[in-house]
Amino acid sequence: MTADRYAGLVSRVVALLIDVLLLIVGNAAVYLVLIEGSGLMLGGTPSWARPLAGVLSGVLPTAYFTLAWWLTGQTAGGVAMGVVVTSADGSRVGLLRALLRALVGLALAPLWLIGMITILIDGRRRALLDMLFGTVVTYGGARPNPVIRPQTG
Amino acid sequence: MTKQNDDKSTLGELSRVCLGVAVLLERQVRRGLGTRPGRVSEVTAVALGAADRTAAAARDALARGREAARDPGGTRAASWITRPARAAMSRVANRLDRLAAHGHAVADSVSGDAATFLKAESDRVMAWARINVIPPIVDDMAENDKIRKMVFTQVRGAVSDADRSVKGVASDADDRVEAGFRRLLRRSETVDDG
Repeated sequence: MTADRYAGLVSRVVALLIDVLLLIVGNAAVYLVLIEGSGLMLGGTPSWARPLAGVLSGVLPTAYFTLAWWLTGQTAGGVAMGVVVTSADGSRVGLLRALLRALVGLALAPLWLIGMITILIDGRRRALLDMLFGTVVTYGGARPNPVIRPQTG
Repeated sequence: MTKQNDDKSTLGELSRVCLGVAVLLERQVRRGLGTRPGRVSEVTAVALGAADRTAAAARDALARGREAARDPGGTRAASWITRPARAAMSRVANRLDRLAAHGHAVADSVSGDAATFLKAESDRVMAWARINVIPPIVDDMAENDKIRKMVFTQVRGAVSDADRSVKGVASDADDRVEAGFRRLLRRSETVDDG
């Protein structure tokens, strides 16, 4: 695989921002359905609604990233920006690796973001998270502008 | 009896409207002749030119007749002999003047009526079309599978284009950012070495 096929910093940050926005909307929906919805349907918010909403909103991001990386290699942001997470050999990321990648990334979110700096210096454009879990992020599907990068020493 | 009167008045209104439309058309054609000669056909232009020349000739003859009636010239005997003819010509000229003035007034009146009538009718037709024609057409278009398919294809194409464009821009940005960062690193290395 040539270095031109690895996704760069801007695509990956924008994809992550899209995912974050979607998760914010998803969390709001969870709270709206469970707390406001149960309040409307049952005439008052039951005691279990808030803890359940809290658990779901905590689990939702991990489940979202894990399932997306495991099933297709692409989150919604990845689809929008055309980037795919794969193993270093190009195969699909396994469930356990996807789960660990999501857990570590979300638990150490600042590290996830700061670790993206290494994309700029690594030959395969890997972030710190990719180096930890042996993954790479590539441009998926047809790209409109195939980039011819100058050979650097 | 009343119905007959109504029919007559309707017929009168209709004829006034027809005449008014003709006058409006004639004015429009004249305006067209004055501003954009190419917009009017040759036949119309020749007909209008002939009518205008005829009217001018008639006006000229009338003016000469009036002049002759005012100043018969010659001797008193000649003046006495031609007086009845001059009086008759003068009456004819006055009658023609009144007729022309009346004709102008009628033309103004019927053209105004026709303009009002046409505007009212066009407003009525447009209101009718808005209620009875446009909604069924829109419904037909909305329910037409072919049109829906075309719209769907267009939207999908637009989204696809936008998607490709965003990805292309992001891909370029990836390389620019990376190239900029590498230049920055090289510069700092050079500064350190120096």
